[in-house]
Amino acid sequence: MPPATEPAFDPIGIFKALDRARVTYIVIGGLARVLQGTDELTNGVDIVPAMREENLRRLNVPLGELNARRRDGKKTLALADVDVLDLETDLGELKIVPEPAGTRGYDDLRRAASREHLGFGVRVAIASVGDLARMTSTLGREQDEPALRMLHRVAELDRSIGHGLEL
Amino acid sequence: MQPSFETLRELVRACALDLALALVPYEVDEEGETRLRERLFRSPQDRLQAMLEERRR
Repeated sequence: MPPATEPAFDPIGIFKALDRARVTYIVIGGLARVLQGTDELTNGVDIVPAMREENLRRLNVPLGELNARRRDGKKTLALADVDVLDLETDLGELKIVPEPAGTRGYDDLRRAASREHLGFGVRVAIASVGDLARMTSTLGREQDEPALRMLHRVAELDRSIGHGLEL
Repeated sequence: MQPSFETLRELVRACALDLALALVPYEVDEEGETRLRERLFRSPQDRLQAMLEERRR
């Protein structure tokens, strides 16, 4: 049981809600980096949804189930006017990013993404190490430097493992 | 890496400057490197659970 001050964070619950509504998305951001092997802590799930109209309609269902509300206090959950829809939900932070920095969105990231089992019947598409490095690097934030260094090292180690080398 | 080193050097030289290269000691974070290698042999499911446990501590 987390301490009372610890914000709720149940990524599996968030993914289950998205999957029940058959929302198509790719996981990016800190959680995706963790899933790819970096050493960091995160409190939220960041996703890039497919921007097809049908998918955006489906997305409304889990947002309702999760009691999603904007962290800036505004009421609308429309993606049209924002770069990032930054939400608080009953299961933790959820950011919906139609077109992450340095990419052209879902169709761009889908090519290199991999689908991974996370347990509890959940299988998600995760952005590739290369795409995560591209996004993190484009943001150019000082606080992301350690994560970016780790991503580069993960890429090097992945290559060496793939080629049967030991770095 | 983009731009390539050659392109970068041309750009810098076009500004009437040059690049100075220097060798520096390669400092490896042995502990961080070991943790990273260990994590890469885990599944994404295990990496997620490890992060959530770490977060609860």
